[in-house]
Amino acid sequence: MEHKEANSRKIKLLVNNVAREDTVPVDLRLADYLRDWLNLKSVKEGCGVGDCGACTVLLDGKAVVSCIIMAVEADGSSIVTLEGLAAEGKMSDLQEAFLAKGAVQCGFCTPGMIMTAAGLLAENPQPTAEEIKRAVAGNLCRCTGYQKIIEAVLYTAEIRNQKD
Amino acid sequence: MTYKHEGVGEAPLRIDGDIKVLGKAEYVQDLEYANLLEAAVLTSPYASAKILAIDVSGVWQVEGVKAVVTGRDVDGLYGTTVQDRPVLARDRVRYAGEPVAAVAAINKAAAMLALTKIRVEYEETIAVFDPEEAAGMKEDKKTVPLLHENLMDYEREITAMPVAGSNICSHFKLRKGDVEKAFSEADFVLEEEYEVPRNHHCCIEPYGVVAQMEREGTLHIWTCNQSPYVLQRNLAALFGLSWNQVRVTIPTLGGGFGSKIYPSLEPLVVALAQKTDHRPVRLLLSREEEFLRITNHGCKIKIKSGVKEGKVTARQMAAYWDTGAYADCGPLVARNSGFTFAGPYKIDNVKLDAYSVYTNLPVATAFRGYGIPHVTWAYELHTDRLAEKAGIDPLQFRLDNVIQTGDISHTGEEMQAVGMKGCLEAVAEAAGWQPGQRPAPVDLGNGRYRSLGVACSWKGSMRHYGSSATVRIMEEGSVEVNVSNVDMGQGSSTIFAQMVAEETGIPLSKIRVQHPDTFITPYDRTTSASRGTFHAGTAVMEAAKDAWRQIQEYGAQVFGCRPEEVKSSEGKVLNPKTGEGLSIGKLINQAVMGGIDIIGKGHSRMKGGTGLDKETGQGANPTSFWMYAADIAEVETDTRTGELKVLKIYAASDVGKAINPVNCRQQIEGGVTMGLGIGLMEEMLFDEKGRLLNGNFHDYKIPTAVDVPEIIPLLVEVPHPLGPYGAKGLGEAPVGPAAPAVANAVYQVTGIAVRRSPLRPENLKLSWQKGKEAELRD
Amino acid sequence: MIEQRGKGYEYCRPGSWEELAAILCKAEAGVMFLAGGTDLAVDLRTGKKSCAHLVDLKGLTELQGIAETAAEEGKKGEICIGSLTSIHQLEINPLLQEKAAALPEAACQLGSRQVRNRATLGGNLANASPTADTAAPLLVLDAFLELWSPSGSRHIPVEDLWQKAGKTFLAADEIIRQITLPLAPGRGTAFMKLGPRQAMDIAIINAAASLELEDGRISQVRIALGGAGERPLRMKQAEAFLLGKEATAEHFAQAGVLAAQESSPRSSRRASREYRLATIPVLTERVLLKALSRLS
Ligand SMILES: Cc1cc2nc3c(=O)[nH]c(=O)nc-3n(C[C@H](O)[C@H](O)[C@H](O)COP(=O)(O)OP(=O)(O)OC[C@H]3O[C@@H](n4cnc5c(N)ncnc54)[C@H](O)[C@@H]3O)c2cc1C
Ligand code: FES
Ligand code: FES
Repeated sequence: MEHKEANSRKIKLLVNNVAREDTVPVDLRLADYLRDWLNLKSVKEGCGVGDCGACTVLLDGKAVVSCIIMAVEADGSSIVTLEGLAAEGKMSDLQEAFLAKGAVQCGFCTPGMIMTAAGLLAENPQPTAEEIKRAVAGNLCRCTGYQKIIEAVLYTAEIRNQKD
Repeated sequence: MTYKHEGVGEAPLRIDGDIKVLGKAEYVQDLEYANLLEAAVLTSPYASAKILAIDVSGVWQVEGVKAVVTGRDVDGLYGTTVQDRPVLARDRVRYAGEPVAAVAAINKAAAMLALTKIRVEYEETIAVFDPEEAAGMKEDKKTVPLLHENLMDYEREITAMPVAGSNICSHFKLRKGDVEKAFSEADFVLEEEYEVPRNHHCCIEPYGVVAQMEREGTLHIWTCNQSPYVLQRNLAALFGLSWNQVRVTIPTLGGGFGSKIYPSLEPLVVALAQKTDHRPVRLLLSREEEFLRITNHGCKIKIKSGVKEGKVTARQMAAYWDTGAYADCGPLVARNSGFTFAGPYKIDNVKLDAYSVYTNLPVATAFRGYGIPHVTWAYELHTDRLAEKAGIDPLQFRLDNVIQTGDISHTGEEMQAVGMKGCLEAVAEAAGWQPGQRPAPVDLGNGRYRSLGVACSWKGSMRHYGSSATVRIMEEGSVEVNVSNVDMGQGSSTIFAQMVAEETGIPLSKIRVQHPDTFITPYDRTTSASRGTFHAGTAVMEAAKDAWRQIQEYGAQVFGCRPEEVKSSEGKVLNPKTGEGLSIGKLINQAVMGGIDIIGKGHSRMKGGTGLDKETGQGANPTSFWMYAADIAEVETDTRTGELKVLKIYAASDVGKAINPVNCRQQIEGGVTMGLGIGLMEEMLFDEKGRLLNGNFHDYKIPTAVDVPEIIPLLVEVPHPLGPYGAKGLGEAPVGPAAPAVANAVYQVTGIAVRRSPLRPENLKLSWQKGKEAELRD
Repeated sequence: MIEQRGKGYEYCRPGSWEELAAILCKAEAGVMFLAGGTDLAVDLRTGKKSCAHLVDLKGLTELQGIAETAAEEGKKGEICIGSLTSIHQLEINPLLQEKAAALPEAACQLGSRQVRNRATLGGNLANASPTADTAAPLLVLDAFLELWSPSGSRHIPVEDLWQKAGKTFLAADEIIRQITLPLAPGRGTAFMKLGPRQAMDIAIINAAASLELEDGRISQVRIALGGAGERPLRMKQAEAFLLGKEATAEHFAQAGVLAAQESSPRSSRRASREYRLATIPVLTERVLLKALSRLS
């Protein structure tokens, strides 16, 4: 019988603020680890090679595509998925803005889109429309035409800045 | 809780929006099953070959393999219009990428490894890829290999009109007036050829299917399909089951755009599931596989028009639709785009031939617009050339020629509620283009120019087909809407809930629209042709009215009044005598001592629909309604590199009645973006052996956020007498005019016609160079 | 079809140079270095590349960072960039924006934000794509590289890194440790990219230029193109033509024509040779104009 076992390695990381320790195959992709091992199904797979952004998560606060990162590479880091944005099930302001501005249609690109936007706003709290467009250029959406997505991010920034 | 009405004409939050922004919406790839097996598919490396032998015995060397199937294991043929397609290739393969064998195993890695153990012996045969050549219509290449020698023996729908002894699986004809006479009397005649190559739907969700032969004898399938009932009936016929044994469940869909209307790989997964002792089998496609599963048609179009005194008096067209190795809905695309083919213009002499042609390329299917993007590309670029030759501003030329209410269409229909002119006027006003006074291009320096272009389009829906719906009001006051229209992102569930809120006064927050499931939700033909709001919407509206009538009857009984005196207010039923409101639950309780649901039923039935005559294409009512759209594009053209920057698109659509204006704008913005993608950058590239070269998002480009211009959606409302609340459909029409409007703006700058899409910088630059050389030679 | 799993390589992440040296000395063959993985992870997944040992360089934290060494007597100032510095760091770095604008300008147009957060400068260079977006800027900035292997380190001009598409002159156990940019205060630099899509696109042609003027005449000029040949190339004839001339649009246009003459682009799925040749003059001219506009 033929079946090659991949090598395994122990990793420790924080996922949505929960400490995890797992022994994972070295070629297990971060996306699969999050989806299949931790049941974080907001992480979507649209292409598997970094081109569509559906699998975007935050790794140490930065948006990355989890389909071209191995779980072992995330050892020692902190990961946030869309599930982690809604504290105790309550929608974050960014999620609310996506809903309110009509930025969601089929919703398949939405988790990745929101995570990229979250990464952007963390680094640049007052982005221009042009900066938002550049930032989400790696998140393909076939439904919306992006306009309402840009509006939602702008709106979130505006609300946050009013609060400050 | 404060009461919110959120009925027709308002823009409540999308009812499935919260689960989507929370990441909780479940797509096929997210569903979980006990004992799940994963499938993998071995496909043909050849576009055309005989299969001499297949040896699958090697798969059993791989641990975890549970089932293997080849064409020999599954009888029968399937297909939407022509039943020409085996579940897996049998004696021959007809395109590179055609399924030849499939394996189910305990995980994907084992299934993939098992594929490498299958030995297939092929003998390559001659392939044909160009639709005009495949149709036998190229002068120098009259003999071509036949893809389906038994074409005439296949079962088929009446809309498929094959030509014996050819690769033409359907020839649609339309004849009106006398084109030859009109050409001879015209001031001038212009003849051109256009081409739109194959492109792809690119739903961001790749295809996924799970099938299980359940112990109780039913076949249960979970799939991202737009038409659960078409699938149910196809699977029942293929696998010898009755309709009520086939359960099709549709979870949340990640886009559709036509790619999920008809059965594609579901039969194959069922074939595997029959061999797994009731274990569910799942097939999730990679992006690369999704590119080969199904595609949009490529098309070559010849167009010839005669113009007299600024009016188009005659038009002759021929279209060669490349439908690929199997017909799928190709004949219907040829037909449905066929009767709209000459464009939204009043033309008295029309002669059209549309051929749906087999080629050795992947199967082409419906695509948002059902051929409209292709034909609009041809007739709208052509219209600008006609206007130029006639010396008339292209906007003015269109206004002078477009079809209007009361005009007779090319099939002989008396047109009603036509918003074509309204759409053109709306975009012209928004863009500041006075009819007759097209602004001249602005020179921006270093070879860059800014200019405006216009284009318009129409789209018929389809022949009327039925839809049913039920609305179940529970004693507690919550509502379930059962309808099999699939919400794949267009927001139909929200629209349906709004209709129920409108009719019953029950707040939107209490209304849930079920996922389609053929064991639960009643019949609906398809979610396609922009028909959801019109047809399924009518069914839901009727069902809600029916439910409300029942409540009124109970109210009459309890309050001692006439039923029509019973009104709703803030979600309660009003006692007309006291003005007091009673909850629905209390009302039911008082009327019949509780314990029942109120079930409203509704159907969309339509009278007076006609077919189209086989020889002349004439018919007085071929489609339940029409849609109209017009765009003006503001474009920056870099004449030195061929780069285009689309700055703005003003996009008007006649929606009849905007039931939810936000949804309408979403459809326009998304549709325009898709239209720009296929017109400006998207093209599937095949090598000389018919193998796809760019089947991934790295090499096949769709627009990103940076590529999309500012889109200004404009809603025109010319109410349709039969549509619910006056609504028409909307999903498809906005895709048509965007790219032609851009092309027309670019032409204004360069004066060199580029007739093949997409307008990639390279195509433009090299065509201009060649055009210049040609000019110099002349 | 893509095989996702079961490639069966060893993975390690050394935390020190000693550890790395030990691993490299022990491993016989099939070593591959992993930086951001934005090229390599895709190549491993699609089967374009395979390896026996995947050595993750991210444990060597000193490989990240951008620092300036000020000019001293007899020595020019420099900017040193660790090879594992992310493309995103290049994009937002004020020092680079001020003193080597072409590089951040290229960085912000590379791939997507997610890719830039992960992709590294060393990886972009070592991957040896003829259209790597950071290559042309580094060529015009006269960058040189510090290479390291267990047997020692050496310095090479960036130009000497590439053999041909996908192939460098690095030894099997050699890595890029640092990229150094000598500073030239009076210089204007710029980058431009031509692609069918306005974002997330590998260039058909990319171009960088650097320019210095003395008394209104060009005293120093560098022009580099990606996509014009088997590897990123300096356009030395065009440079020689411009040297000593006035910085005018006409001269830049003539330099563009020369650049096309010394290019030998290939036809690929992305673009034909013909189109590349047609646009090289335009890009060259425009990138020179842009560099000129940065001088003041
Ligand atoms: C969606 C997407 C879009 C992209 N768009 C662009 C683009 O627009 N422009 C562009 O130029 N590139 C683009 N790329 C390619 C890629 O992101 C870059 O080439 C990136 O800089 C590679 O860096 P990395 O750290 O990820 O390299 P890795 O993938 O880790 O490594 C790449 C290669 O370099 C070797 N290597 C890495 N670091 C070193 C080192 N320090 N010493 C020696 N060898 C080393 C590796 O062994 C491997 O062979 C894109 C990639 C993706 C996935
Ligand atoms: S699935 Fe990761 S980028 Fe597409
Ligand atoms: S909402 Fe459907 S892909 Fe973005």
